[in-house]
Order: sequence, then C-alpha cells, then structure tokens
Amino acid sequence: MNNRTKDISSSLLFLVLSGVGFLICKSKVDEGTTLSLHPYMMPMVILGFMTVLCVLRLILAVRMQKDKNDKAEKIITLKAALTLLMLIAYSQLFTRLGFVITSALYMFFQMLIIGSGKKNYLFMAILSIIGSVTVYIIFVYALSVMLPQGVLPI
Amino acid sequence: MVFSGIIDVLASPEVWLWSIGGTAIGIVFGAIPGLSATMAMALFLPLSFGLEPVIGCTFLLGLYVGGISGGCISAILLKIPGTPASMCTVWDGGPMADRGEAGKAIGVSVLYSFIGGTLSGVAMIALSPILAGFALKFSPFEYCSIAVMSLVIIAALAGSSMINGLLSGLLGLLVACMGASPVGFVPRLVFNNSNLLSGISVIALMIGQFAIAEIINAVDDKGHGREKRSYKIKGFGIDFKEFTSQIWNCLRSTVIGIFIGILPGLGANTSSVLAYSVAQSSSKYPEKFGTGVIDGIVASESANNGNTGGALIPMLCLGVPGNTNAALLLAALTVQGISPGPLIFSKYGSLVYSIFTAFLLANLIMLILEWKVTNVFIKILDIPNYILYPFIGMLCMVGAFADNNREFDVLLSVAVGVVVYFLAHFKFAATPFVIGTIIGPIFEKNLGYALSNSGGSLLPFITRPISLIFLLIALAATLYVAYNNLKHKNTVLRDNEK
Repeated sequence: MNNRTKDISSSLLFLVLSGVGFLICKSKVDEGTTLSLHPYMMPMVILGFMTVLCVLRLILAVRMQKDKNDKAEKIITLKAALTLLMLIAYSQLFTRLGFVITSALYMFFQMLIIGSGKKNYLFMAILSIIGSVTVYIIFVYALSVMLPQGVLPI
Repeated sequence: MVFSGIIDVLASPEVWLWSIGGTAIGIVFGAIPGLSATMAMALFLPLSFGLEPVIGCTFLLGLYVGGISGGCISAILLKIPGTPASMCTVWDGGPMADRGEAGKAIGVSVLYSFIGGTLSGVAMIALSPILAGFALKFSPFEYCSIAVMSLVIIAALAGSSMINGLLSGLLGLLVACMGASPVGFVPRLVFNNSNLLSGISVIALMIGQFAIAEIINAVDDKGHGREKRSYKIKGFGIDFKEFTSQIWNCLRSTVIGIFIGILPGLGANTSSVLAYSVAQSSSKYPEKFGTGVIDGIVASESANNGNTGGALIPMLCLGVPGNTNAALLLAALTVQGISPGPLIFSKYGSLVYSIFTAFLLANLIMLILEWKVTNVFIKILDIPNYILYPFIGMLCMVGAFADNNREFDVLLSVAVGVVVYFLAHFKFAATPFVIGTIIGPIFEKNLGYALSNSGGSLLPFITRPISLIFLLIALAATLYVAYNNLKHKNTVLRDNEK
C-alpha cells in the first residue's frame, strides 16, 4: 500500500467506525435525561469529533497528488505476523498451561523467529527453560507476585 | 524539633541502611516494566509496621523515590517505561540509546531526577502549608482545563500531521471511556465483558504500546539494530553548557511536577506528560522532540521526581494524599498512631522533619546508586536482540498479569500492542493515543463534577482565571502549530514553483 492508499483506507475505516459509534451513542443519549450527565455524552462527543476529522482527512487524502516515489509496502511482514500470533497464543495459554511452560515455549519460538543465520537450537531451548524458571522463582518466591502455576506442581 | 528530626535520620547508621535498601529495591521495581513504586510500597508496607516510625517512613520513602526514578532505566535501554511516569522519557531516551548515547541519556535522567526530587523536597520543607492552601482553590474546572491543555498540545505537536495527532488522541479518549462511567457508574463500551467494567488497565496499556509494539517492530531488524559505541561517560554525560541550557526547562518542569503532585488524583505520569508538552511547545526546536534530545528527558524526569515531594505536601498538611504512593505512606503513619493534618507540625514536629530529611537522603542515595551502576545497566544493550526481546516479552506478560492477576490484562496488552503497531503503520502517532487514555478519565470525571456545579453551563471554564489560562495556552499551541505547518507548506510550494 502506498501512502495515498493508506490514508484513504484508514480514513474510510475510521469514518465508518466513528460514524456508526456516534449514531449508537446518540440513540442511547436520546433515551436518557440531562445531556451533561449522561454516561454516553463523552463517547458521543468524541466520536462526533472523530467523524468530522475523518471526513477532513479523507478529503485531503483524495486530493493528495500521486507521488511516483511513493512505494507500496506491506501492511505486515511474515515475521511480524508470526510474532503476533505467538503473543496471542501466549496470552491465551498463560493461565492454562502455566507461566513456566508457556513462557519457555514462547521464548524458544520467538528466538527462532527473530534470530537469523545459523541457530543453536539446544542453546535456545536451555536458555528458554532456565529463563522462565528463574523469573518464576524470583517473582513468586522472592517478590511474592502471583503467577499462574498451570499444570506444573511448583 | 527541626534539629532533632534531622539528627534522628542523619546520625543513625540503621536509618541509612534502611534508606539504601529501600531505594535500591525501589529502583529495581521501577526498572522492571509492570512493577512500580506503588507495588513495591504495597508489598513492603506490612514490614514497616514493625519498625520505628522514622525507620519505617525512611524505608518507604526510599522505595517511592527509587521506584519513580528507576523507570528511566528500562525506558532508555529497552524503550519500555518501567513505570507510567517514565513514559515520556522513552520518546527521547530511546532514540538516544539507538544512537549509542545510552550512557548520556541515563546520566541526564539520573541527574535531573535528583534535581527535581531535591527541589520538591525543599518546596515541601519551605512551603508546605502555603502550597496545600493553594491546591484547595482548584476546582473541577481547573482540572478539566489542565487535561485539555495536555492533550491538545501533545496532539498538535505529535507527528507530521495535526489531524492524525488529534484523531489518535481522540481514539485514546474513547478507549478511556470503556468501563463504568465516572458519574453514575454505568457500564459502557464493555461489550458484555465483565473484565472491562473497571476500565482499561494503565499497565496493560503501557506494556502494549511500548513493549508489544516494539517487539513486533524488532522482529524485522537484522543484527542488533543499535549503534555500538563506547558507553563510558564523563560525569553525567553532559557538559556545563548543556547543563546551563537546561536550567529553565528543569525548573519549569519541576514546578509543574510539584504543582501536579499537590493536586490529588493526577499522578506522576500526568506531571511528566504536561511538563514534556510544555517543554516541547516552548522549545526553539519542537520538531526535534521525539528524535533524541535531552530536553525531553530533562522535562520528564524533573517533573516525575518533582511530583514525589509535591504529593507528600497535601498528605502531611491536610491528610489528603496526592497520589497512591502518598496514600500508602499515610497508611503507614496511621498504623503508627500518627495522624497527618494541620496539627502535625505541632504534635509530631520532629517526625515531620525526619520525613523531610529522609526524603532528601533517598534522593541522594538514588543519585549515587543509579549513577554508579549505569555502566552495568548499559551492558543490557550488548545482548543480542534474539535473546533480549523474548525476555522482554516474557517480563511484559508478567507485568501485565501482576497488575490485577487477570489473564484478560495479558490479552489486552497484546491487543493494544497490535493497535499501536497498525496505528504507526498508517502514520498515526501513538503518543497522543496513550496520553488520551491517561487524561481521559481525569477529564471526564471532573467535567461531570464541573457541569453539576454549574448547572450544565460551560461559562465558568472561561470566567475562572486559572482555567482560562490553561485553555488559552492550549489554543496558542494549536494556532502556533497550524501557523508553522502553513508556513512550511507555502515554502515547499514556492520552492516547487522555482
């Protein structure tokens, strides 16, 4: 996506979200009593301003002249997408499998993704396990910060 | 009374040891993202109950001062603020570290943390009753105007497009609306999720914006991504000329920190945001903020440490804590049978001066400890990215979970990180977004109170002088930025025509 396309698409997306949100909030405010004290007043005002700004941004983006030097770039790279998926998986398995197992798995696979060139898999695995166990011990036993135990009996 | 209070602290080796221990632990808590000075004080509060009042207060003050200033270490080295109060330090400290100036950035942070904290201690000693009385004049109108000013200035100056900055800030305000409304406690924008009833956790937001987004960005870096230079610095890394050029910035930011600290409910992160935005708007080179200038670090660190003393002023004089840390100290004093308030100077004068002395001592110890171990901290930058970032990711999950012991906060921090990553991709500055989430609740709560007091009228925002001043500053900053943008656009058009 080049810059012009990015601006137009993001403006449209925000415009739709803010416009719909504004109408929903307004319908809730219409049900209420005093505008100034209504819980949906603030979101309504914010979404109203956002809608106006999105329209302005869209107009400016459409009027933007095409730049030959404006190169298209990917929205997200494969590595970044994999990292994202891993972080989501990490957050979902955090309390189910426990901190130690989930963290060790996350660290190992994250090292695989970030690292380039020849990789020492054994070193990464050992480092991941030692790192997660050490952090668990420090936080739970030294600092009394609770972390999910999960399936491990520690 | 004064002399005995000072001697009780300075002449006791035991007090010195507790102060050193407390400050060191505080620095560690402050440096780790997700942990904070508040958490350190809360964890060790029960320990203080069994200690003598002077020692207990000294220990807690060490945790407080160390915790607030320790946040700059991870903010600079890892671009992740250790505490919310160091958020603004990331914006210039991070780029400085990328250029191989990590030592200088940390040196500057430590020095100006010390200056800000010490000046706030002096203000606390000299002006406590006067400042506390002044704070009582602030009504919800003034609180609202401060919030508007902070957000507008940051939005106007962030990034290359004011529209993008304002949209980002408004999005942050919208996210801050999630949860129970401050007036009436009506659930809104919770999407039937009970975890959102208490709103969005600040820790999860901070971790998401700075850590998760940074990790996603870092996976595409080849090699270390940071320039390798010698990290050894002379002194604090700045020369006399640089030091003198920052005097006004430091003093102004410290005053802002003290001032915000006195006002209950605003916190150190608000003071650093406000100080940063004022420093940027009044600078001769505002466009350089965020690229690695020491002005930003000076403003942020002076203010957040200036806030520490300021928050203790209403706590001691009125029995009203300026922030959660002061509230914990108030709890410690209360358990010891000491009631802060207007009579504290007459009833417990010696203890009060011991508290003042212990506060200044903690600042001195913080300076020495952080300065001496700077070279050790900087070694972190030598760790390859493929090892460092997974560790950061793990620590961030710990931090997000530890705040409320909820799995939801962990997922939330990832979600915020994704949002911020894509915001940056579409050229939206992330800074106004985060500021909006912090300022939003303050603004809305006080707006509700203000409108209740005025019967729905907005006129007092203009008729009250202090409120009007803040709003005029916001307007002036916006017009200044708009004028500069227009001037730049005309210059480009003229150059193209030639």
